[in-house]
Amino acid sequence: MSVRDQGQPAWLVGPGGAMAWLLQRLSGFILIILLATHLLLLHYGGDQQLVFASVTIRLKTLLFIIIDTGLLALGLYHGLNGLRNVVLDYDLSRRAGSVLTTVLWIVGIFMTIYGATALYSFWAGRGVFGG
Amino acid sequence: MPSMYHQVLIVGGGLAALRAAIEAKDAGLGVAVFTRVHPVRSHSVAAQGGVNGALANAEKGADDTIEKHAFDTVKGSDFLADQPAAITMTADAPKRIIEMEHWGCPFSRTSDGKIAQRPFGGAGYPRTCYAADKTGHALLHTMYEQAVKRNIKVYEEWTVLSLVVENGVCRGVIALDLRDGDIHPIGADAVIFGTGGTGRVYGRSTNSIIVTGSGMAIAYQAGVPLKDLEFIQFHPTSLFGNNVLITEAARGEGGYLRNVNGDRFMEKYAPKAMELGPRDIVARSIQTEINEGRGFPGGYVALDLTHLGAQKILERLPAIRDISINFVGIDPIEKPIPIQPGQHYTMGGIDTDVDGATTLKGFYAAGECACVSVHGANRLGGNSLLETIVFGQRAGAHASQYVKGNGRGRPSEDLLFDKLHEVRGRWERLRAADGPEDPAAIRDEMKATMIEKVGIFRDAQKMTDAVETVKRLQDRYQKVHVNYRGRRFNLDLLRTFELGMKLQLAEVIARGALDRKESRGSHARTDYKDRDDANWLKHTMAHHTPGGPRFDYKPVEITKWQPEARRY
Amino acid sequence: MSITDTKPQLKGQNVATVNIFRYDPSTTDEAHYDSWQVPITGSMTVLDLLFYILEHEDGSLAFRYACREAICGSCALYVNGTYRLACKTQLKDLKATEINISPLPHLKVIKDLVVDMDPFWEKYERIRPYLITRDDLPEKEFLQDPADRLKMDDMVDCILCGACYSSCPQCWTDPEYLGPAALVKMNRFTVDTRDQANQERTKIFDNEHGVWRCHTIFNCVEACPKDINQTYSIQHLKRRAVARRFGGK
Repeated sequence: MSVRDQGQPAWLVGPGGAMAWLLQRLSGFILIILLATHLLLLHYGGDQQLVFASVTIRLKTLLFIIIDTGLLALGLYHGLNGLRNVVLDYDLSRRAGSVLTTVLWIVGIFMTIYGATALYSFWAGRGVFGG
Repeated sequence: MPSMYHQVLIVGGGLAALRAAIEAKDAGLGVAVFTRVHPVRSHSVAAQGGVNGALANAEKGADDTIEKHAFDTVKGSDFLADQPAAITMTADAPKRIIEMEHWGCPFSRTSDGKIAQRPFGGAGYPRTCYAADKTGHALLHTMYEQAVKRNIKVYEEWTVLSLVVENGVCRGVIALDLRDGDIHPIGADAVIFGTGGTGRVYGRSTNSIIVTGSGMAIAYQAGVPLKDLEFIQFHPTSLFGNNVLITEAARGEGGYLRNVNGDRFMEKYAPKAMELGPRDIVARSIQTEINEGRGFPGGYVALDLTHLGAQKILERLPAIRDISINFVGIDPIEKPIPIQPGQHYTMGGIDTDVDGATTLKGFYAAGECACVSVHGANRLGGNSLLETIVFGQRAGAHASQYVKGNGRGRPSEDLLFDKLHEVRGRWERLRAADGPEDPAAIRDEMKATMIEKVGIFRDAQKMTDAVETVKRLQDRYQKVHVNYRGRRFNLDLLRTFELGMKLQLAEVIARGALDRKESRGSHARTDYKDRDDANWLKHTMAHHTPGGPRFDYKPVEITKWQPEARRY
Repeated sequence: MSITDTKPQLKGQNVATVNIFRYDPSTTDEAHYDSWQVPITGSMTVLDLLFYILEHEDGSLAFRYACREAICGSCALYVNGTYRLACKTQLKDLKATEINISPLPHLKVIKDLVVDMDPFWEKYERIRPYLITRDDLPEKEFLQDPADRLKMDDMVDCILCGACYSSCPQCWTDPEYLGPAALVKMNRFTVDTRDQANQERTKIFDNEHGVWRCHTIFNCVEACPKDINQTYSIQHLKRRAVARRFGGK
């Protein structure tokens, strides 16, 4: 039909994606720095032996903990938000989009906590495991 | 299926049509626009140089006034314009231009932020407001945006085939939906045409391919007289080869015209105004240079912008540069553009008053399809865009008033369907047409005849030939064949139908021109070289009869300025 | 000199093979390409070619046309694998003896080269494509610095031909995505110093069918026959959306 009704649809008011987009860029930028530092420290810094003892020492060092926590959390955010963007390209409904975002947040938070327990086991557990 | 009905039905999607639609919608009426192409594809979009209004924004134009604008218009028209109409247009000009600015039109700006104005041919002051060299594009897109804002219903790719008239009152139209080939009757309380000019009756035209004159022909067939149709403007500068328009702004910004010897020949023809003489004079000067052997081989002269410098060209004339590079491979920053005069504008048209009203009640026209008359025998550059926004608004306002006072509501189904059957009958006969004649050959011959014999320079012999040729072509058209009989998007059939209307208009143009035994504005006869105010200071009125046009004449309204010699 | 019609005289020696997409959904015929041998002349454009075929070979061919000078936006087509305006594409510039002409991809075909542009126009209408002012209008024009006017320069050149919309992979997968042309129009109004509706405008483009669907693929920029940088406009809108989150305008 050649006649088209002009007008404003109701769906226009959206949740917005500005913060997600900004965080994606920020996390990407910080990840580059963290990754570079991580590689430098691991391969060129101090004790480079990959033995349990040196790992435990690293995990008791505040700088390592900060860098690795950053890598963990930001890497997860960056990756999962990237995944979300790929899936959203397939024209999900408003509801499916929200479900996806919620699920990814839960996955992300769980993985961060799970990863953190490993990271912090020596730091927090200096008392627990001795050391 | 019951017929459609709209209180105000607008035909056309260009500036005048949309402006009328906006006015009627704002008056609270039910409005619909029927247009052969999407509104932003309309020919208004191709206007380049600008729109005139005495805003006095330019330094050199500080003491410009409405009255001076009106006088320039009347003098430019070779005194054939109706002076009250010219005054009305120029008085409305600042209002309408400011309104377009308030609606968002991206005009170019002066250093203090006002709408920029440039000099144009035949004008005493820089009063042509512009948006680079894409003013028509800027205005039309802005106008369409306003139509979208108002949620005006647009029927795209519908073309009107006929008016519906009942006892001397226009009651609707019969229209074709190009996409499925169905023909529909549509009732209306008022119909406003903004259907554009007749450019494509001519060869060597700067106009869009859709500028077929159909609107004028439909009005003419419904008994509305056509006024001054023999006055056809030839634009001095169209690109040599395909006749794409090269705006007058190129000269307004300081471009020179040079012949093969490199001379600025305009000093012979308009020593004061030079390249900025009015269009009829500059076009004739160029053609004279070419005819007398001072053109370049093939028949063109050079439009030299090289001295303007890259910055000015890039800023003020970017579209011209694109066109030139694209179509002839010449960058005007480095080399002159090859140009020749080309058919550009139809000064005449459907006879209307300053409110767009015609002799047919409930039927209005505005823009190039109408003849108010403000352009008389020669239109000034920048006045056509102005005409569309001024008289579009006036026609919309007056039609709304008419509908509120005299609206009769839905016309009877009998009336609409009787007319539908008649039009559909004609359409179906053409769809089945299986004669020996090729419509493309007829079209080509018509265009060649018109530009050659009713062109820039005219005489009795050539025009008599033209009238005979057009008559012969009309006869051949009766034996035409169409190549495609399908319904959906049948361009072959539509173009053949339009050809029939073009041939009618060609006859009106050629006969009107032949009868007018003087030279005035764009109508330049080598056998009657002078203007003859004693006998010919009058409007030609062509009335439709089955045997061809019947002519009579109407006096010109001269209220302020007595005709004088035109020197520039 | 005698004035003659300048329609190309098709007596040239060169012949091109032209393949044109044909489809009429109202018939049972399947979509296919028809081929013709067409004599070509020096400055002949793709549009001239289509008219040649319409007038001399096949009256059933459907295509859109109007201005033939690259300003009306009617004739965007897919020619030899590139988005082009038929009217400004000269055959000699294609540097090919075989010319393939298809309608704009990813839009519904009405007939042959004529596509249904409604999805494109719907997006255009959604972004409120008109100047919105709140304060009383000045008596004369709004004053606008030439430098501010310059910011709109690229965007106001858009002829709404639909090439970018047809070329954008995001438009293919997400029919609700506003698309390059509408977002350029949006940016044109957000940078216009006269417009006073930035709040509302942000809501329209700052959502998952708005600017965030653009992954800077640049197909639109490559397709655009008017050399408009759509991606720049979209990135500008993204920055504006972020700025608004932090209280910017």
